[in-house]
Amino acid sequence: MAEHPKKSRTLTRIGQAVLSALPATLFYVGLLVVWDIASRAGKVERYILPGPSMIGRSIKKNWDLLLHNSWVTGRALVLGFLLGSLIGFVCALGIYYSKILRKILYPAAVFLQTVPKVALAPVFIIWFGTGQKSIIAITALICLFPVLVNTLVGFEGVDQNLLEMMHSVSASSPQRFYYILVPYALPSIVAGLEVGSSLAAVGAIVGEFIAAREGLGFEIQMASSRIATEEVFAVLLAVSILGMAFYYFVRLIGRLLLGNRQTAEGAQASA
Amino acid sequence: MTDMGAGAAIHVEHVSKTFVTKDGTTEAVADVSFDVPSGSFVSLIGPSGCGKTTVARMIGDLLAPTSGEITIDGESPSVARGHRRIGFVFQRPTLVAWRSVLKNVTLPLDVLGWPRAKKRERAMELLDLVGLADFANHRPDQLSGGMQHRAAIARALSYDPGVLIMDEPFGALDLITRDRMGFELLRIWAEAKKTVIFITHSIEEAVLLSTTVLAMAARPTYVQELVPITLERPRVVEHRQDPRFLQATAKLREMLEQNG
Ligand SMILES: Nc1ncnc2c1ncn2[C@@H]1O[C@H](COP(=O)(O)OP(=O)(O)OP(=O)(O)O)[C@@H](O)[C@H]1O
Ligand SMILES: [Mg+2]
Repeated sequence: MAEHPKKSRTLTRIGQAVLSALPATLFYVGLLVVWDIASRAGKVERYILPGPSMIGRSIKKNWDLLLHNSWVTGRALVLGFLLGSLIGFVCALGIYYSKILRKILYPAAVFLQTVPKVALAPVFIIWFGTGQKSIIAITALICLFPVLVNTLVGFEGVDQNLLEMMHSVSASSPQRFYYILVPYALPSIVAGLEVGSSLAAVGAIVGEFIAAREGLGFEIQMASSRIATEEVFAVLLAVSILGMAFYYFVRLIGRLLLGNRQTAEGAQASA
Repeated sequence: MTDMGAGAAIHVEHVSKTFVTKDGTTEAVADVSFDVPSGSFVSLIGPSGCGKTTVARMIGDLLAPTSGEITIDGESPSVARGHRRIGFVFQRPTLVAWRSVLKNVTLPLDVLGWPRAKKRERAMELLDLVGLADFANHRPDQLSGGMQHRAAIARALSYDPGVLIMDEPFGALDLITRDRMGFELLRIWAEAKKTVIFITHSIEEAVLLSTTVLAMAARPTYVQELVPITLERPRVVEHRQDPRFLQATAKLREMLEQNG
């Protein structure tokens, strides 16, 4: 009995969601149709802007290659993100706990923030050679900064009264870290990870532009040098899906970690 | 250490505290000396900003005195704190926002590494005591100010410290709850022979509960007067009409008016 109104309310909600998504859906579907018709009619040169159906055919033709390259890029992206986040977190810890480390690491962090990190990519290739290592390193470098800054902001914003309360019950430093600092900073850390995850694809693709023999970035370059624009678009689609899937995955993990707590607003970003 | 929960004698000798900040120095505590015999209930009373919290924080090892010495059963405050002999109730409730009320009460026990079932049992017992048993799974921000304070009191009691330092613990409570909590506190105090240092702005409350009331002078503070309260135990609400009660409150009021 009690279930029935609940069910119909869910249905109404779904109905409302569909209805509110309708204008955007109509607009983009319409755009695709017009685009395709224009392209078929030869109004736009194929090598400049191939139509959606051409891109679709290219995806089908290159399916195995796209899948393989997505795997290669995805792996670099995930590993680079994990490595960069770990280094960022450890640096934030060092800066928070040690005055000396703060003095040493802070200028480096500020330097990292201001310099366009993709400009460092060629240097990494000299250091790590062409291939996975360089690409992971570049991705890590890009993810590192937002995680570092946001983690540090989280730690430094911790309520001093809570730390004093922990002191009054003689909690050890690791216990203060575990029971207060980390949970207190968690919304900030999660925000930093989200920003990092949204930038990870940039790192991986830029890395592959200059230092790879495989991967989506490499395929874009190859396709564009052959002026196979439809393949470039096909790869771009794969890149977007990959980047978005990763971002939403990290976001989901973050939401799960936070439970019903709020996420921090105004995360610091820099690419 | 068989008698974990039992009180301790506290000596405060010529203690002073001067805060140094960017905006200059504040002399909060001039020269405070007093003795708290083991098992007594001592209230500190004095004008706002005179330095009561500062004195309490120094006894609880949350702040180092500029000069002077504090001992708790002959030990320094930091040793006593390390032995978990001090329970501190802060002026603000200082609850951990992301933990349930129950988990706030168990936090000191988490630190001590108690087993799960024992922690829960102890916390429920204390939440029952402070009248929050039904709110065990609520978050602190779902409680009223007074309820938050009661949760903080339960937390301070969790590991059964012999010395309780309570900074205006009942400040946010209505008069009825306040009386009830006061008598509940007296019961715990008498049963376990604890030592209580109790800060309050209510002269009546101080007189009704305490063995001795210390009237503190305006900043920089010192002990202006030490008023022993001779009302017999157990204290009851009717003591409010007792001539000795009225005499003590009148005396304290006069003193506070003088220096206010
Ligand atoms: N950490 C600090 N740094 C600088 N000054 C401080 C600090 N803590 C307290 N003070 C100053 O010391 C004085 C005494 O403060 P304290 O909190 O001990 O007063 P109080 O008697 O507890 O007042 P209230 O009854 O309002 O709680 C005040 O002038 C306050 O500004
Ligand atoms: Mg105070």
